[in-house]
Amino acid sequence: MSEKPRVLIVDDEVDMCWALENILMLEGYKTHTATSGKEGLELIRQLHPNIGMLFLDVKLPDIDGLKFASFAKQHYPQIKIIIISGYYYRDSEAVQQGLANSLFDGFIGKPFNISEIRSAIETIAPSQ
Amino acid sequence: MKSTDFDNMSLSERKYERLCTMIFSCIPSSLLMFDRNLRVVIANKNFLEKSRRTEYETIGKHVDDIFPSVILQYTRLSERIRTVFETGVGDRGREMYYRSPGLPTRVYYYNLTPLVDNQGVVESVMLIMDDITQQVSLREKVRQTERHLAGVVESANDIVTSLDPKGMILTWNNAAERISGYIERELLSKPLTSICADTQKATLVSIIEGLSRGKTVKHIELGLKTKTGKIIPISWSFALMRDDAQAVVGIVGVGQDLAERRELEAQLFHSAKLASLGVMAGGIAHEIRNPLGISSAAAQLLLEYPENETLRKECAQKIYSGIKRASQIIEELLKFSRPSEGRFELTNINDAIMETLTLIEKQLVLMRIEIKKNLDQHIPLIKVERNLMKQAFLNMLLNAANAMPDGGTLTLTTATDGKNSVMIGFRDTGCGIPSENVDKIFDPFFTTMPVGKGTGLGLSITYSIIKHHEGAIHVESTVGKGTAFTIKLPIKKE
Ligand SMILES: Nc1ncnc2c1ncn2[C@@H]1O[C@H](COP(=O)(O)OP(=O)(O)OP(=O)(O)O)[C@@H](O)[C@H]1O
Ligand SMILES: [Mg+2]
Repeated sequence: MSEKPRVLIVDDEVDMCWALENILMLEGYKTHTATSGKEGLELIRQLHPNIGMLFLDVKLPDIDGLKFASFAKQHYPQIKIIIISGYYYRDSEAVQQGLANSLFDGFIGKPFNISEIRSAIETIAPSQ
Repeated sequence: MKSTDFDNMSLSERKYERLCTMIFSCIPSSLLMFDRNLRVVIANKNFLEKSRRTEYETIGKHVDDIFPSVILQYTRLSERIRTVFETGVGDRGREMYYRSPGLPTRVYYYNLTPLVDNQGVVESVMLIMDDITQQVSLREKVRQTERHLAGVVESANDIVTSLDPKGMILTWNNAAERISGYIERELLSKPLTSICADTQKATLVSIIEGLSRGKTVKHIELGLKTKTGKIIPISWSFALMRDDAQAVVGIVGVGQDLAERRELEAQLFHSAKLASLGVMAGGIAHEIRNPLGISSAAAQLLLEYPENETLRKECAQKIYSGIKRASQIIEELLKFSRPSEGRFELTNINDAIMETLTLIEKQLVLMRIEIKKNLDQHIPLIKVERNLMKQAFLNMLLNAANAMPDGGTLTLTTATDGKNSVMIGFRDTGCGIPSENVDKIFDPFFTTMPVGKGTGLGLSITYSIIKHHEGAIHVESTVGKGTAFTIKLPIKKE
């Protein structure tokens, strides 16, 4: 089996990035982090062939996370997107619609359990 | 039947009587003379005119046929005339309401006077009636005005009291009784100073002295000591009562119960605060979930990988800082939602602004609003009700944010002129306020926000909070460019 796909983490909270980074690292993933939408887009542009997953915060200071998601889906459809938000709930309309329209592939509300992250990864990338 | 006295009169007597008749006909009073049988002997011109009778219909007629029976009943006129005949003593100073057919009611003031012959026997009784309708109606008007004024004074919500020039209480209205607990009777002729808070007696004494020298006083706050010993803040205004010669004859004091007003204000402030809490709730949830999320993730990492030395340290650190941040937000929120204690405390306005900002800073950043701080680090401390002031600031920040839905710059400025006041500026680069709305924005419930989003109370609350601190608020705005609100607060020296 080839190397696991890398994960891009976009969250404006440095500490949140740190937490996700550590969790995923210990699961055996290589990660990249960005703390703004702009930085995230830049990384995606550079690294997209190697990136398989995107953990994305919705409320970013410069770009609406949902817009970020739809842009990424359009240009890099192979990247699976998991939304992580303290603002929306799983049953928020925006989340329900996004999942139904495959705007993103998973949703995790903050605060979360590490097991939720594991099962989200399991659901979207069972083959890997 | 007996012949009339008239037949028995001597010549000179008749002459004398003609003279009298002449005089009677000239005087401006109505006059009737009755004989012992209560029949009219003489009726003067004035009476005949007023009663619209002819002499023929009057002379020789019994008193009961002259006046309407209603009048006779309530004046008991016949009986009174008879008594004068018997006792020889006149009956004076009574009022009679008389309405001749087809004329408005008139009021008469009447006298009964006995005319005595040589032997001291009452020969006839003279009824003189003066028309006092006009005086009575004037008197009625004065009474009405007085009653009206008394009604106003008694139903007033404020204390209304009149004092003599020395400051002794002459009147004490209902509101004064309710507020002070003293009824009027207990205070009559006592000095107003006797119910003044001990520490302010001297002030009141000098106010009253100044008043009697012609100075008026407005909105002076003095403590009033109620019957139960409680001190209530009253805002007093005093004015002078002068007589026609301009001499001071008394003092009128009107006092507003500030405790009552402050209570109402506090309730209003509090409900508005809850309203803005609702506005912030969404943002706050986000704000707290982030540090909670971090702490919880770090704790789970710690549990799963306890052997990893570096991770362990980092995790503990993140947990600690996350909890600190969450509790700081909660602390601010609690401080904010706590009802105002009505306590003025020395405050650094910069700190108050920063504390308010922590509540919504994150939200502002997410809205791509850049915050520029232009705070004077040497701003003097001023006495404010800190929570109220923060509420006013929060309203300003929320309004600026609402005006910049697509982001912008919010400049916060503090400055001072060094001795009199502190200025606080909120300048945004938002939509601006059309000039036709500028006059309305401070009105309660004026809002341009969609239904359910804004209550339109924000600025009216801010305004009353600033007024409560004896400050001023001022707005400058250009549509499409932005808005600047400036709050000015006095530096009070004590
Ligand atoms: N900084 C500003 N820029 C542009 N318009 C403003 C600004 N501040 C206030 N306004 C106008 O004044 C109106 C009244 O403001 P106010 O704070 O009293 O109520 P609101 O913000 O509409 O509702 P609430 O504060 O109760 O949620 C606003 O609806 C808006 O039209
Ligand atoms: Mg407002």
